[in-house]
Amino acid sequence: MKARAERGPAPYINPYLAGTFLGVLLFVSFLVTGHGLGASGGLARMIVWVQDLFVSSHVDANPALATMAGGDANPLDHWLVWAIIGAMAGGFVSGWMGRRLRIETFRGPNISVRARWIAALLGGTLVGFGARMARGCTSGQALSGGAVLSLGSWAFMFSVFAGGYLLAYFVRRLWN
Amino acid sequence: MAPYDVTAWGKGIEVAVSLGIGFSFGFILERAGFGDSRKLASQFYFRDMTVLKVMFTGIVVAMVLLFWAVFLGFVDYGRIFVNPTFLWPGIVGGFILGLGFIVGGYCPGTSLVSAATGKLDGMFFVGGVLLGIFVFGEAAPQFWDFFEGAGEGARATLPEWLGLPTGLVVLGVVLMAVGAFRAAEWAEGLVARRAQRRQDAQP
Amino acid sequence: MRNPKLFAAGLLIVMGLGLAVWGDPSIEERMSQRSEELDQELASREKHIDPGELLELLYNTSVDKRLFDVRDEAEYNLFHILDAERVDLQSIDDDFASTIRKKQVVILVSNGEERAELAYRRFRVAGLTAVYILEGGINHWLAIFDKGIQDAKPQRDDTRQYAFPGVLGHRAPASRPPVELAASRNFTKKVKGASAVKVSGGCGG
Repeated sequence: MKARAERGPAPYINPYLAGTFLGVLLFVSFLVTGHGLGASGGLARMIVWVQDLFVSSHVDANPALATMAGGDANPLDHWLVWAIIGAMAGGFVSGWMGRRLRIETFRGPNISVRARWIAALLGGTLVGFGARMARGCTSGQALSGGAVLSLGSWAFMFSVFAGGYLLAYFVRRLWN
Repeated sequence: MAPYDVTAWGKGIEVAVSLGIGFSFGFILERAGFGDSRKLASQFYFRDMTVLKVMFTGIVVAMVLLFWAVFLGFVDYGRIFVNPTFLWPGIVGGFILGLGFIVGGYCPGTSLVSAATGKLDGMFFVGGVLLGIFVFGEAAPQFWDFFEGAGEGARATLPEWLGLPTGLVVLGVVLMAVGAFRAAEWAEGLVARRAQRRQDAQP
Repeated sequence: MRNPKLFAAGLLIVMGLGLAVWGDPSIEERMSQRSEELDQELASREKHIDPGELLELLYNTSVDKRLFDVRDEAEYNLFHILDAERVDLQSIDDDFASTIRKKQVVILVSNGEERAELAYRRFRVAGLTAVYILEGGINHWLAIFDKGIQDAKPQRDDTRQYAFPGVLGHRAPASRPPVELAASRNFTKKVKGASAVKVSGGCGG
């Protein structure tokens, strides 16, 4: 029998099963809280909290920021913030259980680690910007909004896939 | 009647519920392999359609459960948060997010999971997301009318827009999802066979 | 089971089919499903507004509002408050409710309160939250602004308690009393103009 350390990472679970668990979780979330999941909103609140520490009057004057941290409002006092803390904990535990905890860089076979880091940073910037503009990301808008049949959410979802597929050919070096 | 107002049960419970739901969310995402940008990006090369399978299964399962609960009278649909529709900011923002997704290999939720398991590309991505959010916050007043204007943030649902009863729309979405799954598996098989042939052809 | 994916897909399709066949709950069904909650809202009197508050609202151009009168056509023609729109109870449905803009405040009026409360229930299950009822209805409004009885008591009863020599519609003085009369009323402001239950969600904030 292989020693524990040699077993390697565990396989991922069946995607349909994962999706079912996700769907049930989403349903429970609606029942108990009236809303679904989210991610980018929590990050946005963290950013504006930092900004509020240094340039509070600028935050108050900017309508995009004031809704979250205007005046005395504490942007961190919101379910989205706790949800993403929980999500990181959940990801960590699952990774630990699956023997997938490792400091490493996932990248396509034909680019360097450095290039991958730059791409991740650039991609993340686009995603962060787009998520704020769309008032959500795949968790909040596509998944949660999609399940409740919000029109804007479905439009958003198709848009995301469109953007990804259209650019995929041009950045294939990154992944293939 | 559900949905309940969890904020009415005290701050401690609200935080605990949010942490718990978040934990389960992150846990499931990592179990499914979404902490790996290569797997996520493969979606856009038809190699690994896990993203589509997980997302649409999640949406459809939640949707069917939710609307059965609504129709049976357990849940008040009026109090369920339906994302307000800002049509064009959603489309433009979604497109930009899609571009970032294929370049960076993650979306916000999955990048957090990836970073939590020690992946450096995930961490760089999260850094990028924070930067993008910051940039948006500073730039938004320039195009505020666009951001706030379109659609007036109305609560617009697919059934209303289509003029069809909700039950029919739900059925339609289920059928569309099942069709998408069939197509996805066909595409995966096609790409796999082509890759296999290329490998076999090599001396 | 031989093919779990087929089974699951089949199950989801059957459930979707079931929803399509069962049909969306009608307005009446939704009212009865939420009857406890709606009874409570009405019993709390938090959505019944004093005539003085309505009078102020009518002159307040910064509040986007709709005043719906659910009485019979004959009574509406006899007298109604200026800018009140006559609406049949039965025509209050999801389509009608969706024509109300997001930030608009809806105020309902009948002779007393009974029919206005039915309209309230219909609007609420159609998804609106900023819905209010004129306390005591037209009977109360006229007792105060036409007859000057300041300490008149609002009644729920929808029997008409007023009479006019002719069909005045909105041309009676009491259709648009001077706004100063509102100052002599003692009331707590109840109209918020925003959702009563604030559930915020989604990534955008």
